[in-house]
Amino acid sequence: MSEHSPKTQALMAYDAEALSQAGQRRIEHHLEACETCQRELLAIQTYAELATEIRSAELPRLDYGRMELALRREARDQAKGSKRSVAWALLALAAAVLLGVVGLRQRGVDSPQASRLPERAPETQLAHADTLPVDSSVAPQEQPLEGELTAVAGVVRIANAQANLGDVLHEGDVLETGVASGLHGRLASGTGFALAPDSRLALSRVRPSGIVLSLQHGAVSNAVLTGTVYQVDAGAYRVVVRGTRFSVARDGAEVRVSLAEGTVAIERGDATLEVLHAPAEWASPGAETAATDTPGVDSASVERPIGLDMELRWPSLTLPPFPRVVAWEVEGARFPADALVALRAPEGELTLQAFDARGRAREVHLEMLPEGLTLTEAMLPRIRVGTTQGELSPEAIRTVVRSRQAALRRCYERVLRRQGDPSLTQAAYSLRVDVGVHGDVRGVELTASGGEAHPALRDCITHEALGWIFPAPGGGPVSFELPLNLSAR
Amino acid sequence: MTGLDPVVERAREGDEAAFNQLFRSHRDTVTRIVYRVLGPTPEAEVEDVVQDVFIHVFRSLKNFRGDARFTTWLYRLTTNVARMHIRKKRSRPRFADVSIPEATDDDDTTNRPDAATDRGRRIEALYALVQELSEKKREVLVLHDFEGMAAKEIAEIVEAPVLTVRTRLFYARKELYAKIAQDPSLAPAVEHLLESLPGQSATETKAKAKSAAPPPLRQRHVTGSAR
Repeated sequence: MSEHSPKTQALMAYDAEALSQAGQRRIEHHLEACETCQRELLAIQTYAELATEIRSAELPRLDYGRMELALRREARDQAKGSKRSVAWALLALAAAVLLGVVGLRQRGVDSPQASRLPERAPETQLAHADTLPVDSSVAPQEQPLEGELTAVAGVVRIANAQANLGDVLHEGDVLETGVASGLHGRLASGTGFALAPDSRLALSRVRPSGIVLSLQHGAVSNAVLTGTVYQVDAGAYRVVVRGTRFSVARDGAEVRVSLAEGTVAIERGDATLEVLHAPAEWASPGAETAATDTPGVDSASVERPIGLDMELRWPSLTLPPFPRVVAWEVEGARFPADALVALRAPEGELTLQAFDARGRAREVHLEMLPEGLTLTEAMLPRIRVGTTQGELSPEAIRTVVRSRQAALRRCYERVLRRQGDPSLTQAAYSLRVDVGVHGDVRGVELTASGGEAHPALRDCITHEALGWIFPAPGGGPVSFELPLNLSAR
Repeated sequence: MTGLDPVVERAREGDEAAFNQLFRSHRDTVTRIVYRVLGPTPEAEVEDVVQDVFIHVFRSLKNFRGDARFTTWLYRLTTNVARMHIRKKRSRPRFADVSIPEATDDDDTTNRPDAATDRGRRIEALYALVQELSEKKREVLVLHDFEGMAAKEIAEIVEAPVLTVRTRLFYARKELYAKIAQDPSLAPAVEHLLESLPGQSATETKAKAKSAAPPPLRQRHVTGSAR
């Protein structure tokens, strides 16, 4: 039999009966002897069937009511933003008039300072979102804003001195993070940033009329309230923005921008290179958008800085380092866990995630108290050390477990029906699975939240799980734990 | 601005009621596109993405100039948001722990016939292959083959010539066929296909396919050329 590439187009036409009778016969004749084309034809038909199934699949039923509420909230925020924008425009106009008067007086005395003032007044910048001057002398009457450090992971520095949670951020401050540290700052209501590990950022201008951050290296994620004039300088590039959420990463001359919400303009010199509308990514020539080597920088995701909405000061949450925890995630923000992490968190229920070195996560549910909280070992669910050596992808585990999910449930329901033990309905379970080098299950242990699992349930689930076959893990045996949420219907 | 739908026009000007009307008119289609692009996904995740789409609509509507139809603009935004969601998901650390969700009425695998479970598994396996395609090919394939859009409409959404859309679709399918032929997780789907043929066991049909005419399964809307 001859080995050849199947003529996909001809086979598709054949399958669709779109060929002439002679053409159909020719393909049929060829198919009789060609296994490659038989396989291709079967793949075409398999795909056709699955595509039809996908088209006819029932859609998920979503809670549109919840969405409407969220959209209404968004509408209110937008309205607030535009009011703020008008207020700031008026303020800037007043500033411009005052500046004009000051400028005239200064010219009158032939001040050398006056000759350096830019001709453009701040209101022009507000109207067109033009580049903001870093030199704050253009609006000398305007008081700088004061920001606050809302989260600190590890050792971070402001102006070469170690900084702490709650420290005030001033215009002119230079913030630095180490390879395993990070910080979040709030500069105004609804506006702030998250500085990634191994980064250096100067707060060049923090004024009501606009904020300018200068990224010297590393990455910064930003959230900007609509109406706020905000700009991140990164080397030769400027990212100019109003009301948006985006991140800028800089490695030498290469700059990457990920835009999660809103619109930003990328500028260089006097030219606007590109205007991005979310969601979008941009990279300077030579930089890649899809992946990044910059530590702690994820070009596809924009971190949301912590504590932007706190009108009243939120209590502090302290996360000491724990063995086996390499990262924390709180309210969508990620922190390295090598050193002490302190952050602002809202009162009430709070969920944080603790990641181990292999990317496995445990959820920790906390009740934040007004006086603050320090996480203790007792609050942290166990992250097994185990003897894990090999690698088994989460997808591979999911595929096997999902395919056997019904059997696990049958175990539970059968035991519940026969034993009628009410404690069965109240327990949460965890199943430890040890997978051998060939993908066979070597050991299984079922534990219940309250202690030992019901013997009949344990036996049934153990028996079932011992029969699972996983793909052979690479590098050695693997152990993992499955939380089982079993409940009676 | 002329020629703009009055509801869109009002929503652009910040009329909350008009925006709500837009949301209600288009939420089902947006949900369907998001679901088709993401593949089998928990409802809560689909919900987040759909909400994200409408928040983007809300924030960007003032930039909509009416150069394209509102629906084209909306679907473009929808596919962009879904694509970014997939990228973001890929870039995040993955959970090695697998949480088996509590069963709901919709997820009753015990009482459902095995066929439905098998179908779900086959679709998951297919989506795993689809996600391996490049973004451009995947987008065109999903919109055409799973969502049923015409090539011309897709061309407007992805801002590419119709011919480019057809080319991407052809190469996307070709790549998928090769993957399907080699993917052992889809072997049951092939078996299922063979068994579904009237009066044939898989073995018999295979033999027949080898020696005579191919199975008479036809899906012209999928295997035919792009409209």
